[in-house]
Amino acid sequence: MNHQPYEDWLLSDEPLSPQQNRELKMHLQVCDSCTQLFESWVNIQNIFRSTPDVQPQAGFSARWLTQLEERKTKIQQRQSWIMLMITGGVATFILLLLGINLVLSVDQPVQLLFLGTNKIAEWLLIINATNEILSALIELVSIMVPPVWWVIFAVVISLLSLLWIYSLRQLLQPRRMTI
Amino acid sequence: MKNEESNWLQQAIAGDANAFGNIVESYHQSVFNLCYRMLGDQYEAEDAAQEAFFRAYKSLNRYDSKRSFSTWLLSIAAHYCIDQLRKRRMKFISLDDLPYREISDPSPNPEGLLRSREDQQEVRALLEMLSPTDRAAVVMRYWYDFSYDEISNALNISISAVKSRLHRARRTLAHSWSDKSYQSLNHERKYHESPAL
Repeated sequence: MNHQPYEDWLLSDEPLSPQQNRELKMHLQVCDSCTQLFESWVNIQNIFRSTPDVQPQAGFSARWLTQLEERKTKIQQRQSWIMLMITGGVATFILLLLGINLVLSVDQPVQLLFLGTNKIAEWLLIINATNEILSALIELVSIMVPPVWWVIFAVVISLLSLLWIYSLRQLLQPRRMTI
Repeated sequence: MKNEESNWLQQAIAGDANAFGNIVESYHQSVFNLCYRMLGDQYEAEDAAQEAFFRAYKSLNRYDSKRSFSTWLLSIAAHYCIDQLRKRRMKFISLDDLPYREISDPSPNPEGLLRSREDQQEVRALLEMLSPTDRAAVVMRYWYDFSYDEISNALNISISAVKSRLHRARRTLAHSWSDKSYQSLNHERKYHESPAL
């Protein structure tokens, strides 16, 4: 006996025509195998319908928000590391180029050492001179400007600093963190 | 979608994670249930549901508001679970090797708990017979009442493919149930037979 069309009809989700319905009923009266298949499918559907939904542990959304924060932190850390590596790499490359250039421009290592020491001494002298000039200037200004003006100046500088920090925060705050 | 949820969605698209947290609160049960039906394990389902929400949050800008949000969200979860099942197959881990864990049930009745556990195991065993995509189609059809069109959109397959997958799944399930019933009937008959003298 060919069970194929009857099995298809039994398991079909689509409505059957009156003719198909009649033929199926007649077949089910004589075919145990198809009857059993029909009963099986009915049982399975009943199990599907009667099985309650499975619930997750309480606090699912809170766990999600916590994990989101963790992921954001990880992403920020990774981005910081990438930036650090790039900056470090570029700095190393530049230093390397400078080093090679310096070594090539000097014939003897003793001459290089002499040049370096000379340069350091020169810079120290410049720093010292600048320090002396600035100290004299500050002394002169403190004598010339009355104390009230100093207070006003300090307040204005503080307000400007606060405004600068606030604008910086506004500019740097990410509108949306991509995860 | 309710007005409130629509507002949350707009806020979430604008970058408000807490607004999306409200959406997670609204949909976490249906997403978790789908993941559990697909994966058959409570802990894996939790991870999969969390991941599905992360993926949804990440691609909120791509969400088409003309589509149902729940269909879109469940399709993300289903795709993730299908991928997980495929990976699991590649690792040659049998579902039978995974330990069954108690499912949280608010009913304190021990008999009810046992019955519920048996039913869940039965459903799990039935679904494990199906391929990942067939399983997703069955779960969407019989637990979420998705239409053929919705399943087709969610799984990115044609409507005729949905119909044929569902038909094949029903056939597999019904035949295996028949075989199981026949075997248990035979077993019972042998058990009750009087010993030959």
